[in-house]
Amino acid sequence: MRKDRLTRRDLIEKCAALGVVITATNLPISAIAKIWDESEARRPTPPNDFGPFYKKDSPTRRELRMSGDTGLPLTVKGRVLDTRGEALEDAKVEIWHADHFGHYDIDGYHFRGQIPLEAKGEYSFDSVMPGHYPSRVCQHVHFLVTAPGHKTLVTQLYFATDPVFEGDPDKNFNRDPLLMSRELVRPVVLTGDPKTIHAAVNFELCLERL
Amino acid sequence: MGRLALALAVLVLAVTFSWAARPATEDSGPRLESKIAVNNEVRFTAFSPDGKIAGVLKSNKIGLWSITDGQQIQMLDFRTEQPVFADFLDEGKQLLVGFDNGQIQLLEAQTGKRVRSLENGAPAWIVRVSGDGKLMATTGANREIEVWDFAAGKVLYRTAPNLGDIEDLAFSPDGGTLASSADDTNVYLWDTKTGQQKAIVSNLLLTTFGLVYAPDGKSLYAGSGDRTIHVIEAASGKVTRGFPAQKYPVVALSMSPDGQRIAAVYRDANEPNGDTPVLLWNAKLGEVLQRVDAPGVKANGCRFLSNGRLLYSTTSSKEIMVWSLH
Repeated sequence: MRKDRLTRRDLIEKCAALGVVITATNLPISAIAKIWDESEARRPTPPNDFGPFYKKDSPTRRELRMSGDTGLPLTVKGRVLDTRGEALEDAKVEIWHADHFGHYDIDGYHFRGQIPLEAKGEYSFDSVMPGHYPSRVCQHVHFLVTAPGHKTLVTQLYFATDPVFEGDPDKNFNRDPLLMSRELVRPVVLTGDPKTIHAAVNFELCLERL
Repeated sequence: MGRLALALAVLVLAVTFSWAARPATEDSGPRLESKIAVNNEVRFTAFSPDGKIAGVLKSNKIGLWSITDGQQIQMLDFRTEQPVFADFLDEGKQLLVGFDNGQIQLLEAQTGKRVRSLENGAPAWIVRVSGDGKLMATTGANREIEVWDFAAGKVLYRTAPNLGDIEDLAFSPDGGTLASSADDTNVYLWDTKTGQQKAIVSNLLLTTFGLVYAPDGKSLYAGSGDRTIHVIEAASGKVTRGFPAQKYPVVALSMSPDGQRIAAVYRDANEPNGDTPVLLWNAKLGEVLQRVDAPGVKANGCRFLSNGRLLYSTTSSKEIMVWSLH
């Protein structure tokens, strides 16, 4: 995020100082700015367990799927934002997940990576739909997101198509005792013909300020 | 009705015991010391230095048996409270139990009588007491480490790693340092007097699940997800060497009293219910002395006795088998 970027609150206070904005209430401009800010605030992405399979020093890349990998091709994309909706362009996003068979690679870095951010805090990576790890209920992708001046976000992405939810994640999301928030279960868009089905998921990552 | 229900419950939950020791074989392989039939899933076990085994059962009971004569000593019933940790203290005279409601109880092992009760606020999955019995360290659901004045039953300070759960804790033999490992893959060394961080071992790529100090306190052994036991210089936190990697990650370590041998329990990371081989290592040379990796071996706790004999248990939903290695 550029350091010189004005927040909504800065902007409204500046406008008021220049006479561009005139208020019709008894509230001071700072209070109005605060209310505006809060009314538009986004909720931080719910945290979720870190798990014991993190591996340091994963390579920076957005292509995690290699030729010959078994599993449904998957693209995950989204933006990294703060609670005001400002893009966090200097955030770092690291992900890791099991392969199609539910196995984590502990020898190498298969299905692990630091995902480079593009403009406006956008990220995306190509992988395969993770399998079910034997001691976990749901398919999931681990996220570790850091950004200067913001709380580190440790969370997991879940998939509405997971058979565990039986088509009703609203009702069944808590079948996984580690899944505390319905918000982390994201819709899956399937595209292509029956021979080349591809799954796509949008997962916005919202960080709290320190 | 109540009596009938109680009698039925006792009948259903009764733990029968059978003694099935066989003579030591000439190849000095593992010897089956005892076979304890339990009609319940065994969560984990603990050994006392004087030859008792505690089996924590899914029915919220803890059974205590003598390994040497096969007798049941106690069957402690905690009813609605689920034990999440248990270990012996004071040469086996006392049993320290952590519960899922955050309570920690110190019990007389022989009678089950409660000696003390502490409130942790969160379930303590790992509880360690320093060699001199002055400090206790706990960690669990709150992802913090609490260091207690054990006698006073008061938390001295709390500390935490950056990310994830804490996987193991170990006091140095002099009690001056507490080592902790976390899912962020770091091993942290804490000054127990101040609670300040003395060193971070940050160059391990995967999580360390087992920590144990050498009896002289100079080396710290870290059993890691990378299938290796790393040797760490305790004073500096520098990794000096690693034992040859095995097939599975290391999940638990135990050090012999003379510091010559380390027992390591391994588990398939991608098959948590699979086999759990036990390897006995020469601690100085990093060479395998004995290997117990027959199919079906599911180690569930191990401990060296003062005479150097290693005890470990394998468990199923029906029985606990106690093995020894010389």
